[in-house]
Amino acid sequence: MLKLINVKKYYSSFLALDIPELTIGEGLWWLRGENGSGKTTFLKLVAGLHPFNGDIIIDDEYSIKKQRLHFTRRINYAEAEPLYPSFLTGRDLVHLYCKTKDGNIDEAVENLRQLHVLAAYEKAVGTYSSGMVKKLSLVLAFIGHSRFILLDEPLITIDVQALEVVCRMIGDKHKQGVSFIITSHQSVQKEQLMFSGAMLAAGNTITLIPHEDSK
Amino acid sequence: MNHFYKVNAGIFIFLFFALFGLPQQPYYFHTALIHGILESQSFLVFVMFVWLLYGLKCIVFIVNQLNDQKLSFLHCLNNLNRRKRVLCLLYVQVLICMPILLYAGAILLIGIKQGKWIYVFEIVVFNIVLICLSAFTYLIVLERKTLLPRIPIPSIVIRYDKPFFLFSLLHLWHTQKQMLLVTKSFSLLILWIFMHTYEPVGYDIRPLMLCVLLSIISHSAIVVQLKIFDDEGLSFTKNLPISIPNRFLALATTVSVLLIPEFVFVWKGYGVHFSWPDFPQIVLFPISLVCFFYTVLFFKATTVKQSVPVVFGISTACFFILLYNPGIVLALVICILSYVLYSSYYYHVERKAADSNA
Repeated sequence: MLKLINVKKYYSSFLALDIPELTIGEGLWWLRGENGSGKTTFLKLVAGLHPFNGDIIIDDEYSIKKQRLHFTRRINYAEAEPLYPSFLTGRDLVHLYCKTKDGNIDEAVENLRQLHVLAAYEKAVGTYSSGMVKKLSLVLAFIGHSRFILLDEPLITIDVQALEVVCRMIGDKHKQGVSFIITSHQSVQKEQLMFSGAMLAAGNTITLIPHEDSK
Repeated sequence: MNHFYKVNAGIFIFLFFALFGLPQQPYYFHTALIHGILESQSFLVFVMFVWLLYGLKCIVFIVNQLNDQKLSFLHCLNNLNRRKRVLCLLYVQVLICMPILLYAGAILLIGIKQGKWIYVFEIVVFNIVLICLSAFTYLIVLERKTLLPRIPIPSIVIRYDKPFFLFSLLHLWHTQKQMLLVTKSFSLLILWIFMHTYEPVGYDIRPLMLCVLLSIISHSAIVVQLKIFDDEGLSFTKNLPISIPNRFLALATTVSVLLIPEFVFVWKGYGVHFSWPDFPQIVLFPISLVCFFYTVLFFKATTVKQSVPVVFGISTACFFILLYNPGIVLALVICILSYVLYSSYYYHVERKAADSNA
């Protein structure tokens, strides 16, 4: 469970996000909202990439402010447009993530193989196409023993075959008890991902949508 | 062009300081320098070599810009006719080469006055050829043509687990080679001159420490680059469970590796300029100071230009404190202060650029 308490995010003096209280239970969550509604900002706050006021607590125990190491071990994140240093190889990143997130290298390599990017494993990320970088970022987000995986537009950029693999990976991981918050503008996810609920980003805040309305 | 001058502001400020700030009488210094250039062909060749290096720097920068995906809109220049395209690229090159053209202009004025027509001719031809060849190179890149068929160069790929601290160094190596070269050359030159010219009467660690301070100041532009890379290139690592002590340790290790050439040079002064008991402060002081330069960049000083007064202020304070021979205490205080600032601000400050992008 993820609990947000008095979360406020300012960009200079502009209040981009204001969430007085929000509890996100386990499940496969679809985060909806128009462009610029704060979906990515929300995910980045939860992932710990941006500073903010307030607190986020996972599993009623670990605060992002007070127990950051425990918190980030339980939250993984894949950006919509991932950016990695061009001189690092896929191998470097997989090893870094596995080392810090206590992940399994063989599992990550297998995911890369399924997404058809294993051939570029030893090559510098700078030589990857945007689709390959996206696939790599998704594989990295699945490394370790996270409780929540945040995926920002996971279905864009990648090819149709990879899309099916990613949906399967999400489903498998969800069965293992991992929760997801996924943003997507694509309609394909409704058929391939069985969302358990939805959230709406609008009016500088995030709210849960009752199950009937989310369909 | 603006971006070129912004990116290289640190080097320009440094060169301006070195060429016009350090000499006591800059006018006479440069007049004498120009007379020297006009008296000796070998000196002129050396100056042309320096200009050539600058020209290569310009070429690398513009070619990278033209190949940058974010700037792919620049290829709409191909819609212009070839003559206009060439004129446009020549204009770019002239503006970018303005510092050397201005200096070349000054040499030409004195050369014409003195009737050194061969030198004048050589300088004019060299600069015209440099500008035209550069513009021609940009044209080739813009039109997506290749000058020569690609010859595969055999290379050895060494596979190794890159430790986290190495990422920043690799970034410098891949993207800031010229800055590294200039900084290291200057830094080591200072130490070399000190080691070979200063003969201590009695044992005193302070001259060496002041020399080390000067050497470290020259690294300020590199520190800004490290910070920018950490903020932009390594922002994804904030989601990784790496503790603050480990992150700070990685920073200190990066700095230590970066300063290895300086430590090797300083080691040459063992027995003459320092003895064993002072060695820890000679090593710890530069590492701590560079870390401190890094951590103060959390306070909105996010560009080379903004960092100059900050670096100047800290260096001035260190200069006066070093005169009182504080020993290893100063290095320890700076190190602790750096860690406190780092741990307080690492997760709580974000770059202004990130704000605007979000």
